[in-house]
Amino acid sequence: MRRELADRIAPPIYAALDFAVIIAPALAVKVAAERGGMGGTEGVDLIIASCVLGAAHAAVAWSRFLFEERTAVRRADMWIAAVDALVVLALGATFLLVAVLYGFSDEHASLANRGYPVVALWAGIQLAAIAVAEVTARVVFWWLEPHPSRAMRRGLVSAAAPKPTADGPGRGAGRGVSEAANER
Amino acid sequence: MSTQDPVAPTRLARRLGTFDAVVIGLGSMIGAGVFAAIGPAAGAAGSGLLVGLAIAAGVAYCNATSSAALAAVYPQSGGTYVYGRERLGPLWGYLAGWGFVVGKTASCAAMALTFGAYALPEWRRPLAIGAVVALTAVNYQGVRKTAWLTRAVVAVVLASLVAVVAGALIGGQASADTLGSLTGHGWSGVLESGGLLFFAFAGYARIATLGEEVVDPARTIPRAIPLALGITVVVYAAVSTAALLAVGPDALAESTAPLATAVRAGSFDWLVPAVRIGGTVASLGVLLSLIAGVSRTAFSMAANGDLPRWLDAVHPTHRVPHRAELTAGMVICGLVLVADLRGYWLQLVRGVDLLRHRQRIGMGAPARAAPLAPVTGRRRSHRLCPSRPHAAHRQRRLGSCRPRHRYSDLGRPPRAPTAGTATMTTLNRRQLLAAAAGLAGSGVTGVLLGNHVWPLLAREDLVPGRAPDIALPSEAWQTTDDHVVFAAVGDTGSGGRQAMAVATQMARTYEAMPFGFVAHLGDICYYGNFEDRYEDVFARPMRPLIRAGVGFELAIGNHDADLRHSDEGLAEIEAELRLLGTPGLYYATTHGPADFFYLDSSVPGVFGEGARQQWEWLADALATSSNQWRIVLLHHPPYSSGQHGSTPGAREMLEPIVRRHQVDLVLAGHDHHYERTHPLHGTTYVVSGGGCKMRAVGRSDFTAVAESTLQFLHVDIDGDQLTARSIRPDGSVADVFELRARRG
Repeated sequence: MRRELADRIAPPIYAALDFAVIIAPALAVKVAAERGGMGGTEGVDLIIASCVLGAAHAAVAWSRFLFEERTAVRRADMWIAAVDALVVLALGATFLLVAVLYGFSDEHASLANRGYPVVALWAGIQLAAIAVAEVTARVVFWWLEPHPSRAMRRGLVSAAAPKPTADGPGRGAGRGVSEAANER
Repeated sequence: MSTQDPVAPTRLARRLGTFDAVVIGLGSMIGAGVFAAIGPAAGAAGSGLLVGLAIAAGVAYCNATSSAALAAVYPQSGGTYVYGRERLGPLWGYLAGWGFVVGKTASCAAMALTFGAYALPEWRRPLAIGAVVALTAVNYQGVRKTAWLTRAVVAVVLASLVAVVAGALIGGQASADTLGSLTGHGWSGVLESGGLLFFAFAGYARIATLGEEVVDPARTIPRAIPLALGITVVVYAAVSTAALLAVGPDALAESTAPLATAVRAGSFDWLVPAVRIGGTVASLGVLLSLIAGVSRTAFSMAANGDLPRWLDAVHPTHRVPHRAELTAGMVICGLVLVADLRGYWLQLVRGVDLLRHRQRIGMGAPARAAPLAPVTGRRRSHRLCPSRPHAAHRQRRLGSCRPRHRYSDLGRPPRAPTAGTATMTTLNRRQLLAAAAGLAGSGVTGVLLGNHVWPLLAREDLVPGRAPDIALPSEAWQTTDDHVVFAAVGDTGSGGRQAMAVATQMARTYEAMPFGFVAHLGDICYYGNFEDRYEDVFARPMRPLIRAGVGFELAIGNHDADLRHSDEGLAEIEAELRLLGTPGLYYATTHGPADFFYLDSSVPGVFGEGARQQWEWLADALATSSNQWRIVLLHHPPYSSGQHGSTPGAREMLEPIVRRHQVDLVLAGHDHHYERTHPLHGTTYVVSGGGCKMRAVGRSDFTAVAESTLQFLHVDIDGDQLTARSIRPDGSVADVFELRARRG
């Protein structure tokens, strides 16, 4: 029962965290603008851009989570990959912004004064961070999950693979390694 | 349960007796900390640093006795790594080991550079690398050689500290009057000093890290650790007391070399070089023990496969982990070459010690598997553990084979699976690595983002902004003999959205209340060279005003003179002033009924003895000023409740002149907020530094109004009446104040 509950609430919580770390930088800028007395609409463009990206990626992360819950041989792999991806996303979505904005301030300022849409730069950097995080999630999960050896793939040792057990493996856990691998 | 034999034969040679173990402990603890930590501790707690020392000693004693008990049970190389692994599980051992190796390797690099900087600052990197190579070579020759060198180092350092105590106590300057109250800085200050001084004790566990090389470890280590700690506490107490009696806590807090300051205050100032030699040699002693500790931990980790197994090798003659030592030496040299980690050293060491402390207090905890361990089928685990070695290796990679554990008789049962329940299996190596990266990353990310990066993004105005595109009427202001209007703004140099918002509001304000010039209070350019960024950070934002004929006068800021020690820096400043049409580094101008005196507060030592000429010029210029209003403008604020705070020395240098010559108003920037003081001896001081960034601001006794906001100041002088408004980017007014000319 506990696991079922966790399975149900984990994806939305993860998606919410994912969304939060993407929009946090835009919120920080907006709050600063408000506190500085810059008026109502200043910074809203960045929030909208981040919200769009955040919502899209939250959906992707949610579906990834559900997929991994179904296919993971070991549930820990799913959690570890998710945490790693979230860390990469949080770091990338903010650090990358700061690094690019700070490191190339000359270029951005010149371009902005010629009508260059700063919001495109903002969204582009966050999109890059999201892409890196998504790749991290998938690569780490793949790297952690067991893979059948060449002999197993040839079916030489498949007979030794264990059968599903009744004492509580995850949806994928507990099945034979080759079985799970063949499904993927 | 099985009991580990504390005198079982090991691969490293057991050659260290109690005396050597104590000396190695002293070499680790009586390091650069005693020469440097007393100053910050005195700053935090005043004389209460003695209470802080007692608290730190008490905490260190608890931790040290835990280390000693663990070392007696697990007399192996590796210290914290071994204890974490054996008591809490492989994950915690793995994390502790990596934390120790990474943190202490960085500490080694920092300590090597500290040695180089003490000895010959210009040659610090070559000297640091030389020290690492030499000490690695000594360690390579065997642990007896390490102990002998440590004896020599400790002797020199103790002699130097004796010189400090003698110089401070019998040099003629010692007095109990300097001590003051022990709790005068409050208990929070006392605790802060305890934390700082506890850092200086870090090193008592080094004996435990070398546990595999100590003779009769079950008896020797529990004796050596408290003994070394006790001697260190006595030394710290003696040195701290002597230094406090000699010069008092304030002088210690202000000094970068507190012990030298204590000695220099008396008649034994010829002992100061001995103090410096002691500090230099102390850093060598710490470096020696750090390299030994890192190599032993790496050696132990390699034996368990947590580092490359190639490092798990013992020299056939010297009986030391020679590959681990050489590798550690090379990595440290590489770090010394590419980075200066001295600023991060304290934080790194504190982080590792925190982890170590947490593990130690978990010693008596009930049996518990790693929290991240997955729940999997017991039957499957057993079936997938074949006896053949190659198959076992493969199955371990698949995460289904429990690694072998050893358990001691400390009251903790082995983690055997219980029939009928799901078992907690341990993580395999890949999972450990990924989980450790995730956990460490989430901790670091949380701290970095929450405390630093998001606030930085909010305050530094990095998002590029669009310059105002407003056509203003040309020369719409009126300046007469008794009327002038001007704007004052500071710290505008980001070129970001917030800077543009302030510039836009300045242009709009000009439309409604035209002003003839802008007094810029410094920091006209951030993030780059002014020549390169002139268009983006100044010309474009201010273009509507420039086109309207508004003039600009600059009080040079610290960011305008970042490179002023070089020819390039001077050329940059001259170019800056030329572009603004400003006649010199410090100068006076007259507009209507007011004289304006611009100072260059970026000159090194300007608020000390470094720029007497400027203060003499100011006094002369004010003395010859005959106008009704006198306004002094400079970048660094004499009075501020913001992040930078009141500039040290500014009041002492400026206030007597200002008071003597009846200056009406002093305008400054530097701190990114708006703040106005009550009239102080007739003069009002204003910080108007919200030109593009914001910082938090508090309130002080002198504060009349303070607000963290973007803003500029609009000042209208009409006869003997001055009206100033602090205006936000949205046009709202943060503050309005009126002054009467002091020279009616």
